[in-house]
Amino acid sequence: MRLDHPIFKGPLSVDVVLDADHPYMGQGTWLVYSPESGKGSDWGMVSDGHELEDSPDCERISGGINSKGPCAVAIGRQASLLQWGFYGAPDHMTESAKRAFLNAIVYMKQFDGQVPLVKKTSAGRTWLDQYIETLEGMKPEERVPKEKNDLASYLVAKFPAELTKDGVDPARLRKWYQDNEEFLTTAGLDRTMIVDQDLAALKLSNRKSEFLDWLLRAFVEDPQDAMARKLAGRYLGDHGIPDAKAATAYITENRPFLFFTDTGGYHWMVDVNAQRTARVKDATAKKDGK
Amino acid sequence: MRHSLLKAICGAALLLPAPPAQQQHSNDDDAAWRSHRGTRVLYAGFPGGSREKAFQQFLSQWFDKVGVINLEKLSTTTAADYDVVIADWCSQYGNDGYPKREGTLSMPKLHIEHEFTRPVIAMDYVSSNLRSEYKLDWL
Repeated sequence: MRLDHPIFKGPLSVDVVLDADHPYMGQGTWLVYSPESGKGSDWGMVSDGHELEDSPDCERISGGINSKGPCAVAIGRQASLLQWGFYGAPDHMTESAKRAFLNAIVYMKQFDGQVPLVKKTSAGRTWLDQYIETLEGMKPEERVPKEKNDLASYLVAKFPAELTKDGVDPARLRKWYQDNEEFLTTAGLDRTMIVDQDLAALKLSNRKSEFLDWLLRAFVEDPQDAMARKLAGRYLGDHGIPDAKAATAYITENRPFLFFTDTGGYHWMVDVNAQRTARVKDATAKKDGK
Repeated sequence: MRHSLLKAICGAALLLPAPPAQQQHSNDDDAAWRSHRGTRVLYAGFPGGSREKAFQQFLSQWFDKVGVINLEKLSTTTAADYDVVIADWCSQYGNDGYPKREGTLSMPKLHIEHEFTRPVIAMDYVSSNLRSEYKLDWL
């Protein structure tokens, strides 16, 4: 929970009292609403928080008590849409929740006109960390897959088969994850991730700016560089034409606005919202003669 | 599956007694809020019922212009005269006066167009209806 977020800061003051007697993920819990006396609480919704913020249009504001894991997002934003995942209406909200909600209305005004940048097509790589944590919390006998759809089978299937053929050792999985985290990519539309062996051989992260620098250097040295063309095609999204000139132009022209997204398909994209803002600012400055 | 997903979150309910009814705004609140009263807010929700009433009463205390429409009527046109939209729908558990549904979700028939970029606060699972292909969706 980000108590330093603007919705907890103003314009109205918000006195969030964290109940230390009911901790969740090492932090006290914030009571958002109470149901009618004698009636059960209605469930809300959480969204996937793994790499939610891998695109600049998103922010995680608060989690919530849920069954999907500590990364799940109860209050979060993508572009002009804010999810308030709790069900309680104002007549059941606590005073602090009402005030944060009012602040959220004010806060959201600034995002008028912003388009969402990323459609969700794949799972963020930090899911693997959560899978390993889950296995670490299971007894050794529970980690052995027994049925096709049991929890152990589900978790083990997320890792390369050679890592688990002699038994499930979370420490081994964790080392593999740490060694390969920067080289992971999606295996398709499900939540499975694989190691990009080309990146691993180059020891080159696909999500850091060094990747873009590497491509530019490689194309300067040899516009026909086969590996550079392959990686450009794989990671520059729709603009990943495996052509030195097109790839170089795409990177250099959009560099301040490029970001890498796991959840959007493991490729680089342009922050068109920021790009548009910069263009308006430039045009305004020119008009004003600055 | 979807039914189980609805059980994804709760507001740490029943930990404390219900808060007192809305109190009058303090002078500090009035000063802090003065420049925001003019924010135009549209509540788009399940027509009729306790939630629409609760939201309308609450929002009207804080904003000078509050509109109310059926969420299924939300569009670029209906939101044109507002700054922020509250998108809401009813529960299906029958705890608060709305019909209880078994086995199926109570989902609004709604999908806003890509061009709809008016700021929206989506309650509960409504974001999954508004922009189901994006990130704020069922986990």
